[in-house]
Amino acid sequence: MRLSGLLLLLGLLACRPAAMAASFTFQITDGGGRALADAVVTLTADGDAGPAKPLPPREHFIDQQDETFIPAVEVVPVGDVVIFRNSDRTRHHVYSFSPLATFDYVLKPNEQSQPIKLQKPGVVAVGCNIHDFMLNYLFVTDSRWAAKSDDKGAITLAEVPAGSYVAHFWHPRLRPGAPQPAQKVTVGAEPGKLGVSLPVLPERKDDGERSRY
Amino acid sequence: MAISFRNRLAIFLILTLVVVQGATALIVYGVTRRALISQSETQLTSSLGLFFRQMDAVSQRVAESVQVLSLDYALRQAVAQQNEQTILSALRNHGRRVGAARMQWINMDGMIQIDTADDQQKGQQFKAPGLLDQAVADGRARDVTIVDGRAYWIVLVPIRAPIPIGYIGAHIPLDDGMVDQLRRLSSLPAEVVLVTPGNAGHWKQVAKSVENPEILDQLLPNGAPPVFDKPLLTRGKAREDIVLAARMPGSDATELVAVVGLSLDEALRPYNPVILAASGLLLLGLLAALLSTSLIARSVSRPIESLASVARRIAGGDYTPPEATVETKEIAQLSGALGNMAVAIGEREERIRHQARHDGITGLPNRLSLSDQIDRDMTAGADPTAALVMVGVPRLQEIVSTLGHDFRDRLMRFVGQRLQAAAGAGHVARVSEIGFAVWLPGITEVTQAAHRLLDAVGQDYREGSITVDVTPAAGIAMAPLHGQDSGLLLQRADTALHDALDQVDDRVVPYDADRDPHRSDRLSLMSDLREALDNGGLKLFCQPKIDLAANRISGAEGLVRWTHPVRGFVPPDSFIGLAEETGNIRPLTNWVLEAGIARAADWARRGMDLRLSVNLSVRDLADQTLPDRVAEHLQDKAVQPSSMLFEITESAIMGEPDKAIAVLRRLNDMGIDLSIDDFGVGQSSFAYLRRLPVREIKIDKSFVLKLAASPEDGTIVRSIVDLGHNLGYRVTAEGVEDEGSFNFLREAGCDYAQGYYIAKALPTDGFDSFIASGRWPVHVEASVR
Repeated sequence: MRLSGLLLLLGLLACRPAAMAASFTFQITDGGGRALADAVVTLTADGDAGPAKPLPPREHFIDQQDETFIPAVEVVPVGDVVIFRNSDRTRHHVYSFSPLATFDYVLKPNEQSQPIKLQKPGVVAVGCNIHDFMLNYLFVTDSRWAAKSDDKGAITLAEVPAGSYVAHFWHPRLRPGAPQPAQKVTVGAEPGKLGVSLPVLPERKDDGERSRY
Repeated sequence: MAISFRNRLAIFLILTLVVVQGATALIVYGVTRRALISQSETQLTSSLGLFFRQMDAVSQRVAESVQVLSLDYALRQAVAQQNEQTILSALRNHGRRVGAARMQWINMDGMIQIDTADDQQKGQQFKAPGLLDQAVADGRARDVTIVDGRAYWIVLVPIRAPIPIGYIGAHIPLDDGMVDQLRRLSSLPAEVVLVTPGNAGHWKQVAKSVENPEILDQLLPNGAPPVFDKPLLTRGKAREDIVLAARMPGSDATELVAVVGLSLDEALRPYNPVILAASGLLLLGLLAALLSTSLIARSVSRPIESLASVARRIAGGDYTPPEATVETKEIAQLSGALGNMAVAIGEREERIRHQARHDGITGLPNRLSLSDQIDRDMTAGADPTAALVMVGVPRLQEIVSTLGHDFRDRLMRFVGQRLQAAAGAGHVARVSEIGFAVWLPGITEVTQAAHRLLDAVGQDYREGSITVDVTPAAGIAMAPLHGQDSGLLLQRADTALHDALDQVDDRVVPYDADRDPHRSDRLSLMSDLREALDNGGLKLFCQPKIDLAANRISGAEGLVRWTHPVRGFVPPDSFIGLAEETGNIRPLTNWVLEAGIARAADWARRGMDLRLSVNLSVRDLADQTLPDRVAEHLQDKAVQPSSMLFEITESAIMGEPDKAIAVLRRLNDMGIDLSIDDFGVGQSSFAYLRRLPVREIKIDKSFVLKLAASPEDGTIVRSIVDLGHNLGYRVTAEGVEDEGSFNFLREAGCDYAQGYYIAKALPTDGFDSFIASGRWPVHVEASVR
């Protein structure tokens, strides 16, 4: 099966003209129609989208300011490196029990962690053992097209070759264990747009405003 | 049965006290109890609310504790790394910290991974997925559940590493200890039991905090479903409780109900001293009532009892007024009234006694009183002889008729006073309308004494212009000669008095048994008389009658003589009068007629021209058959009617004059001559005389007896003879006892003479001898055979 799929993907890539590409925008809302930030979309080409242009490894800095991870959600392509930097005047005990990346660093103010190289796609949840409400999600993906929504809930993917895709959506507040929402997307010559509503859980209230997730 | 005043008062007071106190106590108790119930209900409701809030707070704290545990880095690490042994020990450790009986580790799929209490639970699905969601959303979730009949709080907390990677479930037992603690925290004054529905609507208890186990039956009677949210007053055996049931909030999935109860007896306990005090007061009041009742009743009943004894004393005849005592006003009044009454009764009784024993008019003792006196003296027997003199005033009826009763009364008073003065030691009493009796004990010269009494009384009584000549008479009865007791003495003295009143010459008459027409032995005399009539005990005696002009025997008066076989000679006066009174005169008259006519027939047969006189009584003249019987007898003996002469007294006609005259006329028509007997005394009425077919008058012997000595009697006799002759009557004089009288009569022209001078009444042979003596010749008719 894996072999026949690979052959099918190669076929599709061969007959598609490479010159045709356009941007595609997703407008993400929650169940109540409000703009949803920090939603991540990944596109998977329906057929063979052609070999991904290998990108040089990049360093992602996750800052800690005002007892908050900034950004809260970071899309990390596979092979990239993440460094946690403490910009607060308190210590932070950054940790992850994720099998993708298990680490813990006790960071003094203005200290930063060792670079953490993320080799496998998946979501790594990072917390602070001192401040339970601090949460950070590292969305590790091998997709060439992956981005997260801004404060207005918008995600714009640029230079997406025309073709059929499956768009997968993720958000920290999606029900744990529930199947990941996905949708077929067709990208043409013109920029496309799609509104997506995600069934997210309500924000947790027990920990107050400091941690929205 | 009469209840004594004291008891009545006591009952009344005690009843009043008991009713008032009891009612007050009941009302106070009822009000207090109602207030208490209402207060208890309010308290119970608020306490139960507090209980629930405390429960919530405690469970919240437990949940927070569990939540804090869940944040333990080592635990999170162990969970994240799936280190089961570490997780198990950590869960046990943390479970002890929060007091959980059981800890569970549940993965994100809701699968139980670890159960500290039950290995079998591993791999099982957690039963409340909703709770898991809630735990994720709220950071923690809790609920109440029943496992194996025990209640638990289940606290569910997600483990974040840092995102939720599973749940910790803690089972905190909601046991008796916990309920106890909660009850104390909520200051619930009641008993609490947690119940849950069991099988078939039967509720069962899962936990309790109960100080008094008996209340359990009240809180959940027989497992019946509780009534929710409404305080109820339940009555059990010897106890009452207020019961309130409510569902525990936050136990929607599992119905857990808290039932709280409050013992009303317990609630009322603070009032027990009050009740005790009230009872004590009541008791005290009762004692006081009894005491005061006793005192009051004694102060009332004691004088009443003493007055009652006074009344009994008065009833017994002792009229001494009760002593004045210092009592209440009413009692004093009653006592005074009783005293007055006693005195009044005494006086009245004295008066009545006096009246009963005294004569109202003269003020002298009455017969009753005198009787007592006589009987006393007689029984005392000190003096064997005594006399009762009965003094009578005659003609009282005339005095009343002419002068009135008042005058009579004053007269009698006057007589009484005189008698009293004259009697000396004798006892004077008024014993009848007309008479007084004087009892003279130990007296011998009775007749003299009686005369002295009569002299004292026999004075003229003057009143204004009226003068009354009191001519009293006296009868005497001697004791013990005439009687042994007062009754007989009085009776016989009275008889003697009446004799005396009839007497003209002697005004003092001693009792004579022979003259007493009322003697009871005379009643037996009558039966003897009847027997004599049948058996020839009677004899007809004849007293010769001389024709003064011819100087020969003209006839005789037939007189009946009775010789009683026992009594001997019985005077004719005594038995003839008795026969008249007792209705026996008719057979007697018949016998006399028969015997007289037989004698006349005998004379006629012997040729002797003698005429027989027979006395007819007043009763005979009332008998209309008399003429027929006379005629029959005459015919029987072939006797000429002219041989008979019937003597009658004028008084004999008085009763029924017309009938008597008719009888007399018939006799006269038969040829029998009639003669007026006892002429000159009694009621001699010429008016009657004129109507009677009478041929002869017979001068009473009282005029004749002393004829020779008394010129007045001579004049009277002479006048009667002249009068008789002038009226055409023949004149007979009886009672001729001496020659002088005999000669005077002859000289005066009297036709016939009769008396002892000639001869007394003679039996048949004596009469024949008298004729035979020839002192006076008898005219013998030639036609004698």
